[in-house]
Amino acid sequence: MASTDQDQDGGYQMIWYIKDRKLQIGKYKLTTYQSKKVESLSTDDIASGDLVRVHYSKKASALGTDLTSSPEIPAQFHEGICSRVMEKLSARTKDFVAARYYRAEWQDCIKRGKQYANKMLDGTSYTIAQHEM
Amino acid sequence: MTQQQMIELIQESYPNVGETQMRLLINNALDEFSIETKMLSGHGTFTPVADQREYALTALSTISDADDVLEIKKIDFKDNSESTDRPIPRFSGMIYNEDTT
Repeated sequence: MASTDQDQDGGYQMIWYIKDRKLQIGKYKLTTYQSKKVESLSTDDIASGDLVRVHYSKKASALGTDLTSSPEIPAQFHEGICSRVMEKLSARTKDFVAARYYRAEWQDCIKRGKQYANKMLDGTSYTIAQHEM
Repeated sequence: MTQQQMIELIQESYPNVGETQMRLLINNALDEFSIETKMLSGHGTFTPVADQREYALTALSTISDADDVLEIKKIDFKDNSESTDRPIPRFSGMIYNEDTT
């Protein structure tokens, strides 16, 4: 039976990876690590009721025709979203001064958004990718 | 802010832009914001199938469009005989010998 433990000796280890934007779940044998042969899980590995749980980051749900609905993101960033829209509209009318102003507002919103996303509610930080700040 | 409030705020400066066009631009900006900040997260489950390697992201109970998933952070295996989720390690590196079953 495949295990999720990384230090299991001699047996199969369950693994995941992405290929062609699809999720691959399989197993490979640690003792033959050099060959890195990946196999599918078999009936010995899976019992009735077993589940795979995937944690992911996602896009915000698109707004529909219900005008009373709100974006899925926190309220303090809603005005920043409007800034991005106004930047686009300003550029369309060739008002590049206004477009620059709204772009600066939008970029500030993105910066604050990244800071918010990387901070937990107790004030400590998640692992922050410095290149994203 | 509701969608109505956002549209009215924008229409103060751009009164000639219609509601449908405005909604399209707001949704595009929301997508950009989500991609840049990766602020929103979620999780979903699917039932693993013997002898099946590949699963579309839409197999997840919470995902209807695979493009909505920006990044997979962690995957757990929930053994029905236990009450805890155990993380599955992500495979990194080259797969030299992969059968396609």
